Amino acid sequence: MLTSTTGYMILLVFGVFFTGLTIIMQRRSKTKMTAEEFSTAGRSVGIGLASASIIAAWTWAATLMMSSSTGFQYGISGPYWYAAGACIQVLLFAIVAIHLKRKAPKAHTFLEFIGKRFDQKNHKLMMFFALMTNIIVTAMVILGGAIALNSLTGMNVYVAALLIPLTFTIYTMIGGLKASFIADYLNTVMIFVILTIFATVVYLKFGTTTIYEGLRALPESQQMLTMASVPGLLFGMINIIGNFGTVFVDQSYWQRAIASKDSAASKAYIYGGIAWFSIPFAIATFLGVTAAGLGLNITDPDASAPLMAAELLGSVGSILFLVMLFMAVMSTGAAELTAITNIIVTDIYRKSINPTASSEKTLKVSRIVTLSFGLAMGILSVLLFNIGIGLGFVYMAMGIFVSGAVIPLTIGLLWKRATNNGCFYGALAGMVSGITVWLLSANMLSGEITVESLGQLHAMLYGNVTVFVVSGVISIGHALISKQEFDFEAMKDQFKSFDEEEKELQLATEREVI
Amino acid sequence: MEDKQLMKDAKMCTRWALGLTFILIFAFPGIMFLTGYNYTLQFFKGWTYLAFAWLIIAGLYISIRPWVEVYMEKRK
Repeated sequence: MLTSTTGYMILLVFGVFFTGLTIIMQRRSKTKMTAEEFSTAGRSVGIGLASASIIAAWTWAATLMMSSSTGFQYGISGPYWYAAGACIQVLLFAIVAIHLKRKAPKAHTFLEFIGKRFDQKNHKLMMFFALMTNIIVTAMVILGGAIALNSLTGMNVYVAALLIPLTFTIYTMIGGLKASFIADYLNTVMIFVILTIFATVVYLKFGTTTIYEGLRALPESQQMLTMASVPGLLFGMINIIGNFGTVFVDQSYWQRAIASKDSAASKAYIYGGIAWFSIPFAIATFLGVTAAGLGLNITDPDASAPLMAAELLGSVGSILFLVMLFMAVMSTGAAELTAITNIIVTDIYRKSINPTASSEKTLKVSRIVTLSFGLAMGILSVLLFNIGIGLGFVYMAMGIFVSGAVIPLTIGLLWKRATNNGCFYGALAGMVSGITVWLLSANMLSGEITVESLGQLHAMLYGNVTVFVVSGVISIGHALISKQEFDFEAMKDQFKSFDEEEKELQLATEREVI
Repeated sequence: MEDKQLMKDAKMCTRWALGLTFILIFAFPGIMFLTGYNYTLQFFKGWTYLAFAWLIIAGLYISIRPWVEVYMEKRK
């Protein structure tokens, strides 16, 4: 076990390093930071950086901890279902990303597109879904980081939850999306390096034969060495369905498409998705499955990865794991923070409060929003922890709350026949019915509604499936019945960058003066 | 012209996204689940080698590609 000082040092070192790096880059930059640059990184990011950033945004604390937990519990099917079940959303997102580029080339958020494609009530509902996704993901990321810091260093969990957001809030506030991209790249490279070290040590220290024999000797060996594991499959199904919401309704993924060059938008998701697959697949195989095969005495499966890391390399292993986890927390946290800021600035502030705000004013508001939300997220994580809601629970339940918007959103972007009412009521009814089925099935299966009964695999699965079926049937069914058609071409010129809007405003003012 | 290229990209990435999704979610696990195959030592070894190789290749790609792009951009 490391000392709590190590935990504080890691927070301090990485927080100061990334803030310093952002300040240096900002000073060396030849262009002045504008609101447009802050929220879109100049729409000039290439495939490589965008892929790294997508990987960083999708590598949560849960990716490292939960995936290893599935490997420890379900054997070899766990890592596969975690990796494949959460990778396809990124791959499929490539399709919607390129369509957003085509249909709304100058948009800042996907909600801006929704606002023009549908009406106000739909815009507000989708914004509710989007903000809920960002808030839950950020809280979960901080929660995961704080729990890991607490269990590995003994650092106070509440202090950790309040300090973690500070580390990524400050550099995001200074550098905006561009700073987030650079930090994402460094974090992703670091994660790959540390994972490679762990995998190599497993081979050198134990070899695959020892692990295989250990797995065969386990009482539950029937499920540990086969893909035909029913709990593994159930987890896989929840993982697939639940994760659609956290990618498709999360502005941070749309933002990466918006920030990318036209030629990079779709390819970055395909390459990023394939590369991301290797992270949970490798960590869960080399730390989770190996821990089970070696028969380590682990009472909480969620802690299998850090404990296995300590088993491999002692306190060096613990520090490496902590650094890797902290990298994942930082980059996802920064991505979510820029996403929340973009939504609030573009879809609330610029749309309803101050549509004529100058670039300077918009930039100032963006920075205030980033700082406020970063700090508020720490407090929310503490509250969640106090209620007794853990990482695994939030991870699997999240789909029920946010996936209602996935089908309406996707058909709204891809299909000219998607209707306003169909998508609105589909998303709303999907979420309400999903929560209802989840609560009812937890009650019927366990005889009570508690955090524990709601966390059961079957109750989660029924809730997740209901959300998709109901929202899909209503939104697609209504579109087929009503036979309306939308002209995407007509909306193409309705999106303008903040800089263009400011120029137009200046011209209009000059004309008035003349 | 730009829209034409984007349409071409859209078609290409749709094929890749759907194809990979089919392989990762239906084809491979479907076959493995239905046959109820139990991993032999050899297969398990191959499986871990695959995980290791995938990790190395993905790591190298992610680390190097952005630098290559910066270099190419500068040359332009």
